[in-house]
Amino acid sequence: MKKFLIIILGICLCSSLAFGDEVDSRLSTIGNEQIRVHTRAMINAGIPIDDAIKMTRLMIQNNYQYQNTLRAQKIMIDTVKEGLPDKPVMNKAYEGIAKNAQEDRVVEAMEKTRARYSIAYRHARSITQNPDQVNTIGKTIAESLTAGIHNTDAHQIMDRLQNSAQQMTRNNTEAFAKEIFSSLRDMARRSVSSRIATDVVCKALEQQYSVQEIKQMRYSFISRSINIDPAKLAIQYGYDIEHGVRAKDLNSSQRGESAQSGKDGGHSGSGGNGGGAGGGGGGAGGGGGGAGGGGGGAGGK
Amino acid sequence: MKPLVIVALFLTMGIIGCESHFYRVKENSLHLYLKRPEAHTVSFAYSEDGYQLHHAKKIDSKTWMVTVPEGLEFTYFYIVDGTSFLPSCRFKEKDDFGSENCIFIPDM
Repeated sequence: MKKFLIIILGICLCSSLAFGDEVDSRLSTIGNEQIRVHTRAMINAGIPIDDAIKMTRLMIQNNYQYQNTLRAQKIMIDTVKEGLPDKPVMNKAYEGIAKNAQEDRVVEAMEKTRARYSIAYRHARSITQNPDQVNTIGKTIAESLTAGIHNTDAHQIMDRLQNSAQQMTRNNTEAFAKEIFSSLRDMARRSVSSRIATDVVCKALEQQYSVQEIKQMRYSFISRSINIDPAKLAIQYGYDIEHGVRAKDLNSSQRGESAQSGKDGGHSGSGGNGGGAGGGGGGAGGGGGGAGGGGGGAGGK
Repeated sequence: MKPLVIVALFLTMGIIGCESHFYRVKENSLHLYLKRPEAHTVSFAYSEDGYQLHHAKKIDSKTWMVTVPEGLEFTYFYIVDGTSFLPSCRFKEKDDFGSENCIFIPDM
């Protein structure tokens, strides 16, 4: 037994030395000892070795001050220690570097991203303990915050959701949370203000919309906002829902505009107020033969 | 019926001609097109590969094209002549650098 333990200990020691050697050899030409220690700490915290080295190397190659590289590394360590996904935070660093943003702004943006995910995952954990659901709901909440939903509005929605949750099963609460924050996210991504988007969702909750109805409302909004100003459409939805219109009837609540949108679909504006993109329409011209697939304009407000 | 079809065709062509940014799915690839006739270099960066810069190809006097795998949701932006550039796009999010990113969502 003693021999066995010594062998295991020996293997662990060798592998950790080899692991340390790999970091050292890959960072030997760049970075100082402190950077290497922090890189090892990132890897020990659970960040994949290639990612830890790639981010560090990129910052050094872009002449980042050591303090900023160390701050970025610490943000990454804090991210994984809190059980948050590392990719969005690391991607923020890459995005900033690609945009040639000032290094301190890149580090600030990483911290903002980490903070958003921290808030989002805290909300998600208040609803469920299932790790997969925490990830799914947390990601959706974080995406809605990134799209422009304010923290205070997310809090307000969470409070309402938790009040309603008392009459729901756990699965239903999870589904509600996911669908509600997906709706907020999609409205915000279409440039609807946080206040208006929150108002729509709150009214849907007040009118006791089901998960299915909220999903229906979201799809209806996405599809109709291609041809109708998204903010005006969201306000209209809020009004209709408050006055008892159910999700299935939202499409027909503005019959004139619906008819209009049917004619205008499938194109994109080239900026300004151009009306959105064409779903199935071949925005880029015909897909010749059998090879061409769907296409569309990507533009439109 | 025939005149209607012709009018619709002309309208569609006219609209396509005005687009500054559009996409097309072909053979499991997503082709993104950007009209920037005056640009000297255009690169494309997207979240899927950690915003590595992909040089766009100039396919005619006005249009630049970049190809990425199909079926993914991602955020993206362009770098035109060294400066970050955001085309008109349907879905957007804040980028934490005082601007925004476009979001590509398949089938939307």
